[in-house]
Amino acid sequence: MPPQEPPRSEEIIDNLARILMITRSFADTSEAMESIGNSAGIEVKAVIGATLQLDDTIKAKIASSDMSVYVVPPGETFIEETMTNVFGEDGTTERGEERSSVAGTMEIGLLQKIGNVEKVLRKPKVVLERDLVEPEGESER
Amino acid sequence: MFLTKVDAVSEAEVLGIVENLNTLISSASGAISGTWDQREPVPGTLAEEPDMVKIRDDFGTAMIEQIAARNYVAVTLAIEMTLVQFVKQVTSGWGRGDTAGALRKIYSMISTEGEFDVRARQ
Repeated sequence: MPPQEPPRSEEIIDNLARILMITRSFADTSEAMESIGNSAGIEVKAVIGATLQLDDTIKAKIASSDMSVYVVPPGETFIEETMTNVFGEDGTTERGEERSSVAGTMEIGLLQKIGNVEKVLRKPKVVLERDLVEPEGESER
Repeated sequence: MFLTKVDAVSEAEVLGIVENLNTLISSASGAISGTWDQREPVPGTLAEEPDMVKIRDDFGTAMIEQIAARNYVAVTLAIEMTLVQFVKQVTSGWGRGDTAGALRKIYSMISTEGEFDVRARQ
């Protein structure tokens, strides 16, 4: 479920900084946040601007159908009909018997709703958990 | 007769915005990853437990392990996933005023030019 109240204002930068902290590249979170601002401030601004535009478009303007962002949460089972594996395979195991779990969404998808019927206008691109585990001896670039 | 101008929007238009957003997210992720990739580990600094806990909620163990191993692909994926989740939160859960207020504050944090004017969108 999405949050029912706005997150803390610094959440997006803070979350990005925490990822970099896990890599042990920065001594503290504030240094990581500063680095993100310096290296990608313009790009992050652009993402925020486009997010506002999308929010404005799907909430305020009039469309022939309801549309919403489609993001697959981690842990969901991969479904080829409604998602795309970013690494291009169909999500089955080597034996082809089981579906893989989604680790996260890399590219946003779009859902269209007409009445009670939902249709995927654009499949989200996802990464599967099994693709995050590299073969022995290949964990370092 | 009084006519009201209506901003109609097509599926193609929304799809175009989504495609652009995905491109921008990829660009932001690349910019952050490019800088991070040139840094050596800080001596004596380990991944902090509170960060691990918070990130674990978002990504799961396999991803955490790959990030901690400084796997460039995993770090880039995690950054993109975080930005995608941000878009999802903004477009699904908040009131419009709350969204604008939160974004204005976020924007001011990363901006060297001061306040981000989102009044036109409220």
